Amino acid sequence: MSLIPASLLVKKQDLPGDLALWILILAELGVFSLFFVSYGFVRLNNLEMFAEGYQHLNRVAGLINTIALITSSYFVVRAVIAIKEGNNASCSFWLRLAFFTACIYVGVKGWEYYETFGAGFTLHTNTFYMFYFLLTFFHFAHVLLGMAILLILASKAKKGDYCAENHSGIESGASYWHMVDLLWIVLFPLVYVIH
Amino acid sequence: MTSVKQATTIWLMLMIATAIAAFLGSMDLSGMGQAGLWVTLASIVILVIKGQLIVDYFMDLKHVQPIWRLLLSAYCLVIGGFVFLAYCLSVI
Repeated sequence: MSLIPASLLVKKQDLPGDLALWILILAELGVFSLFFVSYGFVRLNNLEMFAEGYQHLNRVAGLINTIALITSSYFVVRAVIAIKEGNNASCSFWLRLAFFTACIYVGVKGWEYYETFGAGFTLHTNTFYMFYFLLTFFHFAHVLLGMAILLILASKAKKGDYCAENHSGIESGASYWHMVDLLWIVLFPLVYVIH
Repeated sequence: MTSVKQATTIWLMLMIATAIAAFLGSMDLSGMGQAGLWVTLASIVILVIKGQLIVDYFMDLKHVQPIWRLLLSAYCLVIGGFVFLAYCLSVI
């Protein structure tokens, strides 16, 4: 007897991309979820410290990064639509546009870290800054990897490595990029908004 | 499959939701008492809505096996719930 209700397993449409990638996505979301929940509960015992740290955060940078990542994800969706229509050139174009939009995130994150380090705050300042740097840096590392994937996929799409009938690689890369966006969707309000 | 029109509409909705969240984040809650709790709840509801839109339309999971949609949707819902719980405990 299955532990999972049959209704949850009814197949309607294929899962986009490779199954292995989705297992990775679930694992990544799980790890970050532990981080996020820990942040929420550690804050309980350090209210003043977290309130103080919150005041020094660059919320404009956080907002710009949210807009950049969501827009980049939108461009990736356009790329997937293009390859499903067999338009390799358009797919490559949208992926490159997604990459350059993500460059805005990199630049702004660099500005944010420059300001924060310049103000004398580091990983070792206190518990708030430990969480802030660990959370944002690990997410940043995922953004950089995702950007490399976007560039590689854009190049392969332009060369004709994908087509309307076979584009699992594009869908896998796109799903990874949306995961990066999904992580930020929680991180931004958790660290930069809720106070 | 998400269409261009759908994707563009969802992008617009995400932008609006982000603007509202940013406005809520700029509010000074120090003198708001219980109202601050509602502002925080609103921020978390927005988080869950944004996450669901990305799962359904950007990740295109709206019509796949429901188990996958459920697992991804649970991420925002469960985390949002825990964060709200932690916030409530901090104001008690």
